[in-house]
Amino acid sequence: MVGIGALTIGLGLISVVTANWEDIPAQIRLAIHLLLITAGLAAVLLREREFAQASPWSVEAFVFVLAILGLTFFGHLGQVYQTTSPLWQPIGVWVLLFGPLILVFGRSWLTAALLFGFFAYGCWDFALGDGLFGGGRDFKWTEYVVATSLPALFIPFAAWMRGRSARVSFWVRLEQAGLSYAVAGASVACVIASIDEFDGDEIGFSVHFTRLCIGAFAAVLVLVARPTVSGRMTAAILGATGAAMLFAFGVSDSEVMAGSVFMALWSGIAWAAVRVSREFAPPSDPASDAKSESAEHAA
Amino acid sequence: MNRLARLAVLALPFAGLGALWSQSDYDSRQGAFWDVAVRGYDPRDLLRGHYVDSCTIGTV
Repeated sequence: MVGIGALTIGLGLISVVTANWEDIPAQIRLAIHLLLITAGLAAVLLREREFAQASPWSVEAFVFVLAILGLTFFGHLGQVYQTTSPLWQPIGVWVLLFGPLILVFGRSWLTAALLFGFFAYGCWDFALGDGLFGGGRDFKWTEYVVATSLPALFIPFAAWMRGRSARVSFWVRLEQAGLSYAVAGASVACVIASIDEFDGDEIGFSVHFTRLCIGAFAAVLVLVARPTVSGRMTAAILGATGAAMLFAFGVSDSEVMAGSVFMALWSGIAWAAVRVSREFAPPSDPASDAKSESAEHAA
Repeated sequence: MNRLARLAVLALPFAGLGALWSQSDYDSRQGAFWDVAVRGYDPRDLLRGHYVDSCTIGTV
């Protein structure tokens, strides 16, 4: 009953605000928006431990809502001052402002996916020059390959943090998001090669060779950060995705060869998954992190 | 993580958004104001239907 009452009051407040949106002075609207964010930040600072003890998901949800409120502030500013910009610019500033907050207080997949998703989207919007919805920059292949490879560097970072933080679930999810991105990229490259859509020019080779180098570099970092069976398999998959992209580019005129690269990549991933599953199952519940965090604080 | 670092991480969004707001407000107050005379018309677009648009007819 309390929940339904709170929901009804909340919906009523939203209805009143939306019905009178244009009549509310812009500066007051922005001030209330910033005030809500500030109150949320203060609550995290002062009450985070109590929230986490009550339910670790409450902190996760709180940080998620705060980050979304921050994201909508950019749209609100644009609405009030009639400003516009390529999407990668506000997303980039949002990552700079709210990324540290998520990295320090995030607990599980919700915030990990939010940060990774927007970071990857911003990178692609920047990389494509014109942007996914029109940004007005010239396309440069060096910017393209570096920007679209950047999200994969979350993998070694998360792998390194995983052994040094009580919030293991968050870092596992961030590492998984990065690995999924790399695997999806390599798979899409095989699909593109199978329909012979790669331009067989020098720039195309440079793009895919650079991706292989970045993948190999990230794989070495993962090996250094997490020299366990799971870490070694993650590094192997990461290196394989870089190699698969280069091979897919090389066999772009052959459907059978592109399909073979795709199958080899996924067979390798399946083999790595079997190797890891024999060793252990990674923790996926922030509640287990809360227990280890409490133990850490008690110590 | 020590309290100072946590405080910095939490202060960053507030400071950053506040600075963006200030900058946007400052920028909006720069430059000259123009009064532009416009006239409303109905473009009668077959796909988008009837609505009102405006076209410039000169400066005042």
